[in-house]
Amino acid sequence: MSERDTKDDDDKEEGKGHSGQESGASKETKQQGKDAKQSGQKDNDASSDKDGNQDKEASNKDDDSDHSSRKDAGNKDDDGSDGNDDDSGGSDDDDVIKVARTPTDPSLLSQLKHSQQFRHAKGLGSGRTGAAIWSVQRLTALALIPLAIWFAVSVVLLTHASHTDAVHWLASPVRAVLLALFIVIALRHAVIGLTIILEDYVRGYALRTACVLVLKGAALVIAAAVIAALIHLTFA
Amino acid sequence: MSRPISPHLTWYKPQITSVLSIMHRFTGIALAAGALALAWWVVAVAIGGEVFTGTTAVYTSVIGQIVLALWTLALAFHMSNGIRHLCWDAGWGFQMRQVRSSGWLTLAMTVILTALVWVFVLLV
Amino acid sequence: MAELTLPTNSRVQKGKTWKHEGKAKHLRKFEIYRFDPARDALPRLDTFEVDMDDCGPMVLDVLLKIIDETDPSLAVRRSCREGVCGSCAMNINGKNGLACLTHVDDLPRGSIRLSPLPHLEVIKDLVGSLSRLYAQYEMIQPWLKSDEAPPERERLQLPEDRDKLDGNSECILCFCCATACPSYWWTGDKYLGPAILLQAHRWLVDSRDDHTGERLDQLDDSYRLYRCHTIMNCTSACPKGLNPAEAIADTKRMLAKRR
Ligand code: HEM
Ligand code: SF4
Ligand code: SF4
Ligand code: FES
Repeated sequence: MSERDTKDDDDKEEGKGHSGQESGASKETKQQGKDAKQSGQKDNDASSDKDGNQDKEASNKDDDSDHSSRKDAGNKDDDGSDGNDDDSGGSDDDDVIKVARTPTDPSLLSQLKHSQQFRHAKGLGSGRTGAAIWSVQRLTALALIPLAIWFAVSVVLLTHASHTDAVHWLASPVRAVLLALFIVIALRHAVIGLTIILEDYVRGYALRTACVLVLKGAALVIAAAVIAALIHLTFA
Repeated sequence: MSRPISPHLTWYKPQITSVLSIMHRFTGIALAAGALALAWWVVAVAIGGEVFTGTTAVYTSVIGQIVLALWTLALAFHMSNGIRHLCWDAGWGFQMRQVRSSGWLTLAMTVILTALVWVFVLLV
Repeated sequence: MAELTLPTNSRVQKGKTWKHEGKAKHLRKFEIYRFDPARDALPRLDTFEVDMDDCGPMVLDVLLKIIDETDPSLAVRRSCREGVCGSCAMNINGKNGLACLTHVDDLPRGSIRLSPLPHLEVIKDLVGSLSRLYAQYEMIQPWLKSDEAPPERERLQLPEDRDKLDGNSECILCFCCATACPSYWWTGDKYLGPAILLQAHRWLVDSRDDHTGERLDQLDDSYRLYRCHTIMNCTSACPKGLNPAEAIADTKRMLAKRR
């Protein structure tokens, strides 16, 4: 955040001393409510650039009209001051320049800060993959309940087994298939889980993507090795 | 950036909600690491010979058995809590009272399941 | 990496103690987070002794008494003092809640620690910046989006459909939940957090709204919605007894069902 932003808030919020402090939140809340009521129902996620403040008569369905609403974009009167410049038509760009020239005007700066944060929240839009990944994680979890119980018991039993016993145990096609299923499903489940953990804690895009790739590569290698070993044991 | 960030993790009161949640995460990571070791065992069986005897020696050593016991403990917890998660995903058990009691139930199940596995193993 | 610890400019220092003068039977100590950007380089924890026999019962009463009688520079947000405006949300003894609804007597013996809602930029003392949360609120378009022509009078809704809004629409946007959520601490720049997702859900289940599909599209993102790991800190913190975690789970189910 730039110093200017910081200063802006300072001016706006602290200048009032303690008795005025509390008004910040409630005022903004009301403001939101007002915007919510005023704004029509257009402007979908990807294309709108500001959605409060549409003219009351604005029709509520034509999603493509957000270009026409651009002219309203500058008038978000956060500060409750005289901000209603709806009618000045095409004033959006002018406002931006004004902000640059008069960096001390708190109301314009808070407006700018709000639109920056609003654009940041929208980012590049929705990734549209959340539900798919989530479903696979739940399905694999479900499948793992019986598989993991069977597997845990078998493994604990088998650590003490002789080589012949172990080979014999693994050579059964039913067990081999179950084991292959377990490994593949558990790895799929774990890759999703570990990727989510990386997404939580690793902020840099490049580093995170590299980690995820290594993770997926490792999982593929492990799955391939186990399946190759099982095939070898079953047919040899 | 001169503005401070208000205290969070270290000041927020740990609750059964957040503690079990972070345990689910730790056990998930532990299980993934353990899966690596178990996959290696299958490969070692296929290779046979010294690789197998070496692997078995490590896995049956005291440390190996302790790690294995911890792995089953982690699995028991992750599975019990995982089932709790699946119930939530189905929309069940969201009242705070239920959340707390299912949390304790998860911990009890963890102990019971781990004990069952090892009793079974020692008896068979 | 996400910063799991506080940056150096946020480490809380020992502050000064404001002793109570004269006799008092029910003295309680309040340790209050202080930061004044005009004067302080680092935040600190001041201790105030307050005679509870000479003070209202709620944490907010204590704060107002301190402002009136001890240190007028203490910054606090408040408005309704009855749990409907959401302004006085703060962290009280490690849990988020409303100062105006928290009885001092309900808090365990010993000193009581007050700090701003967690993981926010501190504007001053107990006031954290909520601007990102408002921007995210605006993003979910919290208003009715109907394809029907505007009716002569109100839009009609069956009573049972109206019931579906219960548990959603009572939210006072205090953000106790969002700032209690570890996921929101680490990835709040992209994750919408429980407060905003509860409001997103409020419009998803509104029988008069025609844009459920688009709203779901907007949420189908591994950060915006799916950072929720059902930690349940949100529900446990909500002073209105609402259940954001349940609303989030319901949203996830709606998204799974339409696949
Ligand atoms: C035995 C049955 C299992 C069940 C029912 C289960 C269930 C789950 C569920 C529901 C989640 C999602 C939690 C969330 O939303 O935050 C999860 C996460 C995870 N699981 Fe499992 N799981 C099982 C076995 C395994 C195994 C065998 C592994 C490792 C090989 C594993 C590794 C993980 C990891 C790494 C995560 C991510 C944890 C996180 O996001 O904090 N799970 N599991
Ligand atoms: S349930 Fe979801 S939203 Fe609530 S605290 Fe947990 S992660 Fe955050
Ligand atoms: S859901 Fe509860 S805690 Fe969250 S903002 Fe609304 S009222 Fe506050
Ligand atoms: S002052 Fe309004 S909620 Fe506490």
